[in-house]
Amino acid sequence: MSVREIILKIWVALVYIFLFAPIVMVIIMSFSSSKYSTFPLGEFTLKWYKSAVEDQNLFTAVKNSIFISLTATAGATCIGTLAAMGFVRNRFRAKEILNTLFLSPMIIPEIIIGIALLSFATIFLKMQGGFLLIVIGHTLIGLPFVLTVVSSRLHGFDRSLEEAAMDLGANEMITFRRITLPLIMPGIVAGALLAFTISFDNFLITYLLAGPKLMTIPVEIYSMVRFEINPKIHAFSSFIIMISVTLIIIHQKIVKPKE
Amino acid sequence: MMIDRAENLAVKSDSKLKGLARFRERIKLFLELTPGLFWLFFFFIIPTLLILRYSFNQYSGGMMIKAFTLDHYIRAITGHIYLKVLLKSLWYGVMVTSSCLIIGYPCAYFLARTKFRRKEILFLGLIIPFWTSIVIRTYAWKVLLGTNGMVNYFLTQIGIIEDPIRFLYSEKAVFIGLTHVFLPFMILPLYATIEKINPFLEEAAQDLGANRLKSFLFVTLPLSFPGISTGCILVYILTIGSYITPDLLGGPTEMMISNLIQREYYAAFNWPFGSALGILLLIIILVLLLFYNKIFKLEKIAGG
Repeated sequence: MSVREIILKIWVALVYIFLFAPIVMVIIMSFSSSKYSTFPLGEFTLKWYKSAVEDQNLFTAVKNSIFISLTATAGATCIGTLAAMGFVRNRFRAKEILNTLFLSPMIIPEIIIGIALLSFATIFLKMQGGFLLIVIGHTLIGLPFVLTVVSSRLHGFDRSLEEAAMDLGANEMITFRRITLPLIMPGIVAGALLAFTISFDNFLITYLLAGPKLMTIPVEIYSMVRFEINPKIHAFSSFIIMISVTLIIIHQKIVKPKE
Repeated sequence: MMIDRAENLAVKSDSKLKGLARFRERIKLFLELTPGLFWLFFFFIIPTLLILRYSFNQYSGGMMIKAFTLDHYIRAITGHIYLKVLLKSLWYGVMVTSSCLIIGYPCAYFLARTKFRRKEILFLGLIIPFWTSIVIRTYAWKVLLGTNGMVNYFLTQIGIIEDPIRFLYSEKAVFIGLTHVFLPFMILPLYATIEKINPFLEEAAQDLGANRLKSFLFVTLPLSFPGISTGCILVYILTIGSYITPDLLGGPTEMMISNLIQREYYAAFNWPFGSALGILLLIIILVLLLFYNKIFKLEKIAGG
């Protein structure tokens, strides 16, 4: 191994340490008895997990988050899948512009989406926040991800399979349900998982549209770490990290089946 | 004569059928795109136009009054504090983008070229931080960078420093936090481009007498330009719009545009001014994207 290669390897190792340091730190601190999350570490303890489980607010935040994310995921997945079929299988004049429009919520800062939706809701829907508004916002930001993932699956789709089904007498609806849908299902599930993760982890749009009382996991964590950090939040965060990691691994398995 | 006529009829009905099929295709397309267009129109385009309208309204005595004035834009650009926040955000963008590029390029290069068999594990290592809650990762930096945090502990133990460094509520902490959050957005597009560059090109340059540095500078680096520009534009745009990192790690002195907009909307209730700031941010981003598109068109012309 040349010197150059060794330096490169050390560099990459340092980058991974940098990327994982905060995640590992949260997990380590969740088992340390030190009350102020300082170094050196305290003794091993599970008491922070116990107090996190007993915290009623955290439980409510989890419930709200799951409800919001599932609803927004369902919305983004249906809308995004339909749009992907429209975009991939047709040629039409405004296609490029419309496609850019569909993808744009991915790149527009969340603060703009947040204040714009709030202004809109205050005037036209007479709402100042709440579940419905958050779900609307999360659906909007999940949509481009579903569209991208399902589109790439559709690009590799052999349309002669559909034609064969039609030639054999299946109508359009049956062809869609029995041929098209099962074949693009991995794309739809992968897109749905992304939309779920995005909604589940979203802080700013939720924070801006929640109104005074509604708490989701990221907003609850934020309000708990703003001034003083109680170690039970490490325990709770470790649990959330585990959920995210599980979802990512499932997602990777679906996107890249044995090659 | 009769046969001709029959043929004619057949052709006519055939084209009619084709027209019908085409019509059906169009209807299907319309139905497929309508839900998405509905959503984007009502919950994205109209709301954005609404804040554009608000940004011209007047604000006095805690109320928004219908008007058509450019006051808020002028205030945003000439007001000393506001201009400072704007410039600071743009400056963070430059710093974070360059540090992500410098840190990320060697890493992406390694990932693209390594013969390590279980590459997907390395890849998963990039994606896990990418998809882990930003709030959790940012507050974790708050703990890591504290005076009694892990970073200061190790630095003093190794003997690099004697007294702990005060990272928190300063530019340093925000810079570290933002670089951490956006690094994967740089590495992933870089990796995608470098992987497509044929490694033999570099070898060929070396066979022809270039040294390693030269073959990298004149072959690999220019070929990876698309990945570099995608990564940079992505990181830059995301950085100037960030909210949670300056809020948790920077405190009031390190406020960025998003924090200012949030404060105007939710604490000062000055919606017209908040909207004007939002529109300014949007314009900056659109200009950057247009510029980026231009580069790419030129690139295509240059590449034939």
